[in-house]
Amino acid sequence: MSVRHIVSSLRRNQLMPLLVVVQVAIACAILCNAFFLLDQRLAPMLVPDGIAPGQVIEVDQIVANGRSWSQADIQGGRQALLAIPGVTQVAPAMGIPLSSSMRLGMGLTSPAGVTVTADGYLGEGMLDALGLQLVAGRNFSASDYEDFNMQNGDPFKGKQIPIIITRALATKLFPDGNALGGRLRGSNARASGGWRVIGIVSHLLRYQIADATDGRADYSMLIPARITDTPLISYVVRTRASEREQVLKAIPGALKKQFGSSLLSGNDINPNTFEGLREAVFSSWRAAVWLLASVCVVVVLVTAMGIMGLTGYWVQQRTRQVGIRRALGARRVDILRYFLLENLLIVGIGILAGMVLAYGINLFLMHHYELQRLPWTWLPVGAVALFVLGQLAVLSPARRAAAVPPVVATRSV
Amino acid sequence: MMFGYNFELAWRGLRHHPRTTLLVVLTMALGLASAMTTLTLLHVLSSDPLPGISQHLYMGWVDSRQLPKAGDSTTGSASGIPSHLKLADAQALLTAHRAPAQVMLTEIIQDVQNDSGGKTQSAVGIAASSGLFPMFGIALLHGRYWTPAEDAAHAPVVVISGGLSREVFGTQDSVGRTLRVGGKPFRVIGVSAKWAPQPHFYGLDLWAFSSSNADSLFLPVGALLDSGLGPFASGGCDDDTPLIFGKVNVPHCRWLSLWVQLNDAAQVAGYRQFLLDYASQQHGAGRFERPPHAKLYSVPGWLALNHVVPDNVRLNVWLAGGFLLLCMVNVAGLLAARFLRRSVEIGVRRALGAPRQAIFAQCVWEAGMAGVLGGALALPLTSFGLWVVRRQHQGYTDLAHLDPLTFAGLFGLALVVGLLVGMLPAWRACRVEPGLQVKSA
Repeated sequence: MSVRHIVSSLRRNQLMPLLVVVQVAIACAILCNAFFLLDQRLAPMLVPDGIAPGQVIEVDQIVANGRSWSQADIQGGRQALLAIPGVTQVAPAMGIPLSSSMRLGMGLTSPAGVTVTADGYLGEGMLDALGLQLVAGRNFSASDYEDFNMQNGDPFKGKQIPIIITRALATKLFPDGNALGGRLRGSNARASGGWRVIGIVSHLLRYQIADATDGRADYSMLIPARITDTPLISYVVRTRASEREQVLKAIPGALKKQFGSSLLSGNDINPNTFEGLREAVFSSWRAAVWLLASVCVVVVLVTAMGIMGLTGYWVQQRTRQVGIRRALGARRVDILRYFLLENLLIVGIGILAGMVLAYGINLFLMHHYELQRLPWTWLPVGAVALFVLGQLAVLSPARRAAAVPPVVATRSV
Repeated sequence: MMFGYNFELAWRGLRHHPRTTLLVVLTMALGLASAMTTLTLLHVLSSDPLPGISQHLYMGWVDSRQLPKAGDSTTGSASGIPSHLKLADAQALLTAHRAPAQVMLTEIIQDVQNDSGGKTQSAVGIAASSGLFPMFGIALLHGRYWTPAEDAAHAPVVVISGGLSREVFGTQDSVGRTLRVGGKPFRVIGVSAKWAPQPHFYGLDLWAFSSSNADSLFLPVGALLDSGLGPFASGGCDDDTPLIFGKVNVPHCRWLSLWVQLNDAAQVAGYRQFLLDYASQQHGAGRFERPPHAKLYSVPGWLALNHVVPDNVRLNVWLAGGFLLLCMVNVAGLLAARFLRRSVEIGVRRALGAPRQAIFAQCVWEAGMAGVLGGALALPLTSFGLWVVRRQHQGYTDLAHLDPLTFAGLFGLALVVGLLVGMLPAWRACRVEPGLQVKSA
């Protein structure tokens, strides 16, 4: 049975195949884009964050009333937190994962010519407080730390600053593998002296989970800084896992006692466990994932039922032709193959149209909303899904037609 | 007569093949429910914050920033669009009285406490000039709002919401009592009714949509400064001034926004020119470093500029629209198969003298009825969809509820979709040749 016969048969009755083509095209366009959106949402939820599980508390945004926090204030707060039973490490910080109100995007350029924008975490003792895993090099030593004055245009005064980067950044910036000791130029006026890599950690999540797409979840770095003269400061507190809940309750009281009237009126101290922050961010993400996943499932179901309903009718319409062909010697498997091939052809046309449509929709969405380009890898995924769906949907009507005995077929209808 | 006949035919038709009818109605309901869920959310989010008032409200801005310095870093304030004024400029523009009504305001967050040493709690509100209440339509339950004279005298007076009054004083009418704001005494002169515009267009830095937050503390700007409470600076300062919370360096920081009421296009054009003239004059006098630049934003314009309706809400509307289209094509196919299966019956009707229009009407009627049934089923599905949306807890999602308007919209949409979907199959069915069908039967 050749394709030519199928085509000539299709051209005689156009409405039914046309409806299937349109349906497949729309379904393909929706599925490709929905898969893509789903992946954008799901991928960040699955990446490892590198932070010690069950031990970390973040205290974000402690705001000074009518003045700036001095270095003495910040160290005082650190001591007050360290005095709480169960606390093992405290890091004063500027920028903390998942809750930061202030973000420092650092442009980094490597000798290999790769430029990347990474999130910078400034602070004192961040590696230990977050419980990051050092895979190469060393942690910061006391002599690595510089005073970092927020009000100063070039706080590091042109010095080259040692930094710790993530493995993902190391591989990206130094493709030849010699990241340790590597020098990086900065595109930021606050870091005119550039950077030197002294350590590599396995993972460290960026500030915002929304940025953690397309394999960039770990584009972050630690900068050794004794922060001073800042209107707001954050702390990362590491605790013994068993005592974290008590520490969480004790923190607001301890800091209020330490800072007293220096705290801005109306600004509450609100410590959160890292897992709590993660959960808060993810609860809305999870809803979006469910929404998109159910869109995909329902689109597939509706399309399957549509194809089944249409081909069911259309195959039944041609019972007489089937009977004639059977009487002329066609085997059951020939009939079955005919309908499967026909379906393949119709669905194929629909998929081609659907891919163009998917791409067009993506261009439209990119133009109007902050959305990335649809990677072409999603197109074959949608195509294969619909091919399989089409074949499954046509299987039962085709089998029913093939099962018709030649005599019955020619007599009835 | 035709109505009843068509209705009955459609009803019989639907009952004839209950399985495909169920499929058609279900598919229709799914498509309609997803479209209605996303449209309801979009509708809630694009609603008018102050109906009847906001179309006359405009925010004015003149560029008082210094020239950009070489090597300015990307750190610092994230909010992109400059909109704040220095106190001197806001006051100058206010006292010019070039608009029918004008007000300067800034958002505040303060600890409040009653006069007998009760519990301290945090309250959000507005420090403003006296024009605020009539201009923004804030109704009072008790007392009065402050006068321009009290504005000028920096009188320590405050208007609080009924809710805050009950929480702090245990009674709704607290006029005459003393409220401690950030530790400083303020006399309560009025109690306001619940007022929570959605979106929170004049203070987007704090929140855009919220079912739990509302401004509940209103006091004069002068009194705020006199008490040393200071607002949060959000518009940046001249660069030799450090950014410090709670003590805005009054002359050097931008922290006030100017809202004016303009009733027609001529007034809008006039005020825009006035702002530009003011900027030119200040630039000429050397106070403004940058070339004269002024902006006048309408409320919808300001909301659009700030992307107040999240992108993914619109994205979901497109996604659901695509899905509805898929469902419609699907239903069209199912109906076509259904009508054509009845070719014999149609042939008999045609042979007995029914014109093509009658067949067409019969099919479209059946499709329309399936649409309405789908709409009825979509109603609980939409409620379920909105419940799922509310589970996202993103501030704005808490506002997603089904109102009578969307309810009516749903049925309109269902009917239109049903009729549209019925057109193609009906056209195909009414072209059935009577002779051929009757013969083969």
